[in-house]
Amino acid sequence: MTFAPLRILVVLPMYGGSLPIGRYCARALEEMGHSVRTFEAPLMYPAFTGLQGLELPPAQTAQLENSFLQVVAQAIWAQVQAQEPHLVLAMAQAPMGRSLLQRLRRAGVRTAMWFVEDHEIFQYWRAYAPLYDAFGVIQKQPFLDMLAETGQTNALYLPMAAHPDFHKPVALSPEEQREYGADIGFLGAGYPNRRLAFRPLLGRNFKIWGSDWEGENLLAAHVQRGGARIGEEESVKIYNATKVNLNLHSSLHTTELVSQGDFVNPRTFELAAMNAFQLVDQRSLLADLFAPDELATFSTTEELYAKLDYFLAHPEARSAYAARAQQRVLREHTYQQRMQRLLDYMAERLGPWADGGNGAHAHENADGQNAASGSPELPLPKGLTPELSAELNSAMASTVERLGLGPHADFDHVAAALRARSGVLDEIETCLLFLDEWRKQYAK
Amino acid sequence: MATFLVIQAARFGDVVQTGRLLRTLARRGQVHLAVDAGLSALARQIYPFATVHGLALHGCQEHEILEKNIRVLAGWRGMEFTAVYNCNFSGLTAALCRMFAPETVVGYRPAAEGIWRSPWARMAFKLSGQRVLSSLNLVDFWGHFAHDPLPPAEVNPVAAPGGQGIGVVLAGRESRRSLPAPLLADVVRTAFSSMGGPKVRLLGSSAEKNVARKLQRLLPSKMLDRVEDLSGKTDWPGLVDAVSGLDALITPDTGSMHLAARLGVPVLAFFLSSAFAHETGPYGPGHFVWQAERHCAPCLESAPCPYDTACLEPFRSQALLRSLTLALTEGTERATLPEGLQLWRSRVDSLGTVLHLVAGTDRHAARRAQVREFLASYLNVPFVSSADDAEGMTISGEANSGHAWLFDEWLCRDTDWMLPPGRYC
Repeated sequence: MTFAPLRILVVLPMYGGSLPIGRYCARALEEMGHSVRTFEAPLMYPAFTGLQGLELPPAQTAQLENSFLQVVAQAIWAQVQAQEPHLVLAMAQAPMGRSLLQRLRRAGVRTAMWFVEDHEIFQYWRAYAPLYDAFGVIQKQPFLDMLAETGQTNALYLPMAAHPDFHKPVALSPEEQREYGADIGFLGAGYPNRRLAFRPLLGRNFKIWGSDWEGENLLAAHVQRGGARIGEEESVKIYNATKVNLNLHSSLHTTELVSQGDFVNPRTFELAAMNAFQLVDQRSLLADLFAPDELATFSTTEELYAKLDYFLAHPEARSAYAARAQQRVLREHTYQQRMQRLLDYMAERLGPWADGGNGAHAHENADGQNAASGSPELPLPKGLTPELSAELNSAMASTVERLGLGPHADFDHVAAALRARSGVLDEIETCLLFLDEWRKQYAK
Repeated sequence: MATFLVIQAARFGDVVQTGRLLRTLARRGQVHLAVDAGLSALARQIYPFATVHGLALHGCQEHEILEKNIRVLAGWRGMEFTAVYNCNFSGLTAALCRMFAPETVVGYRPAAEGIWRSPWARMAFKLSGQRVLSSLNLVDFWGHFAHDPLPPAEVNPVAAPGGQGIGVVLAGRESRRSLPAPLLADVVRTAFSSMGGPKVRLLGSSAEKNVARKLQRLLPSKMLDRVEDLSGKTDWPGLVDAVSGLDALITPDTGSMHLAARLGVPVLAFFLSSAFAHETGPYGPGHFVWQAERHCAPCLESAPCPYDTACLEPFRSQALLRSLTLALTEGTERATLPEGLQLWRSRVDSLGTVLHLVAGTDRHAARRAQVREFLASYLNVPFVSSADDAEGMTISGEANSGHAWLFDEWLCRDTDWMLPPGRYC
């Protein structure tokens, strides 16, 4: 389904694993031609840690945390008012509280959450899912039925993905290959099942990257950088440098080390997109996403150890699997495809997306009621030649879009946004800004 | 080797109820336990694996606080505890925890002008907002201070008669929570008859001597030669001896009740007023609790009762004595109870000890079960309910209204998931 470019606000969480996924979504939507802004909740994170650092009485701190989240919600609302988005897309843990979601609904702004979490671990979806217009999830049944029970009937299965511009093969220098490379590698948190499953690999050429491996004395020599958190850029190098990347989905339990769960983690898609070989544990939803000859899988730890030895001894088999998995991801499992699926689904369920200038807009009076908005007014000086007038109008329109302003932005909004923008302006933008200054001085 | 310090500054019963946490830690390293000095002997007896530190905490003079505690604290200085478990939301224990790096303190951490609570402790505080819907036993609350605690079935022995007769705890700390002597006499007489006339031990402190005398006056004279009044005559080891091996213990919500459960003695408990069996009932499978059920129950211990302890009235019913006989003989299948009274039997599920309704009605069964499932999920414990839970649910007249109500502002607040998990506040 194709439609005019939309204005989309992606609300990131302040922390956690869904934060990079939110950024991939924003980039994918931009690449699809939409006008995207992100609400950078991580910018607010220092304020939260600052609150904690003030050493105030706990009761006061708790109150302040509540107030802090209200401020964050107000900041999101302010961004909504400026951008007038067609869609507010929230990632899991994004600071979208009940009152903000209700306000967005009243204002007619469509909302969606991509809940890239295990619904059994994070249960807050029960309270918030009904407040979104659409709810993307990485699990199927019984989760979809459970969502329907809460009143959320616009839930769609939206598995994880990769961002090929970022998750790609990279050439490593010899130094990087030495630093990141190993026969066997794992990047991720030290969940109980992983600790136990990896212990038999003690003493092998095995590097463990990532955090939360404290107290794992047996594998301590394999844990790189003392268990420091690894950034996204470095993770690409590690995956590229490793012969066999282990991909064991996390589990809090130690009775079944291979948890046989349902959803497929981001690592599966990212490794595949990088043409990096992985051994991944079997998941019930994996067969829908990859063919058996695209991913090497295991269902037990014994199978893991056996296949590990086999694939280390057969580099050509690793290459074949990796190539097929990469083709599949590029063909079907990119963030662009996921975002397109979400937008299409919302159009199917909620009606077509409004054209750029006719969307719902978040203009509320102080009492929270919608106010009628007039058509955009971008007054330019009279007496301009038609050619220059057209050129300036076109420049204004593109500036409005580039700055992520809504269709109701007037000349003052454009001037203010240009003034606030960092970096060098082009000649049209400079002229517009100059015109604004000139008017201040002479036009009154 | 890991070394743990558990600070439990509360009363007799609380020390016993810290057992799941202590036994969990004992499997992982060396355990030190700090309690009020008056409870040291008891703590050493029931936790022989632990190094017990007696602190001057309650009922002592100022000079004792300095003289005794300085020595204990000086010993701690060089211990390098792997973790310090502070079990009490108390300024006293928070002050003690100032000796340790904040990140090593689990449960309640000292803050500049207050006390930080762990996420789990905060959850328990939230639960207390609707106590009637909570089924979290205090033993399990403290047990889950540790990750992946000892399985509930391994905490206390399965309750079984030991051949040493009946124990009778004369009164709890709050008289409002205890059966009055005439009613207690009926209960004891009924149990005595049902069990074939075993020995009876009256248990209590010196303060209960009068109750013991009164009770004996109310009992049939033919019973009296089987009655041994131990009120005011037992120190801690003596109490442990007196309770060990009993066939059953008749009791209100008391420390002796928890001790009996710890020793595998079947408990016949009577809970009313502020006593709530779902929170502080006997731990482990096989115990019986008769629980008052009224719109105002469970109430606050500190608040005066505006209803003249009306929740006691159903305990005067002959049906209670019949149900007691059934519990001690053929089983409770035919037991019936008047409105306002419930009979529960303890079981274990994957989260901990849970009560199963065997007589009476429970308006809150469905919602309480949902809260329990939610708690298991919160703690990442695979939830396997105890046997016959479904039966308990059908007894309820309350419609199962889905889970949405659970996730209102009561248990699911924005700060719980938008801000980083695991933080103390």
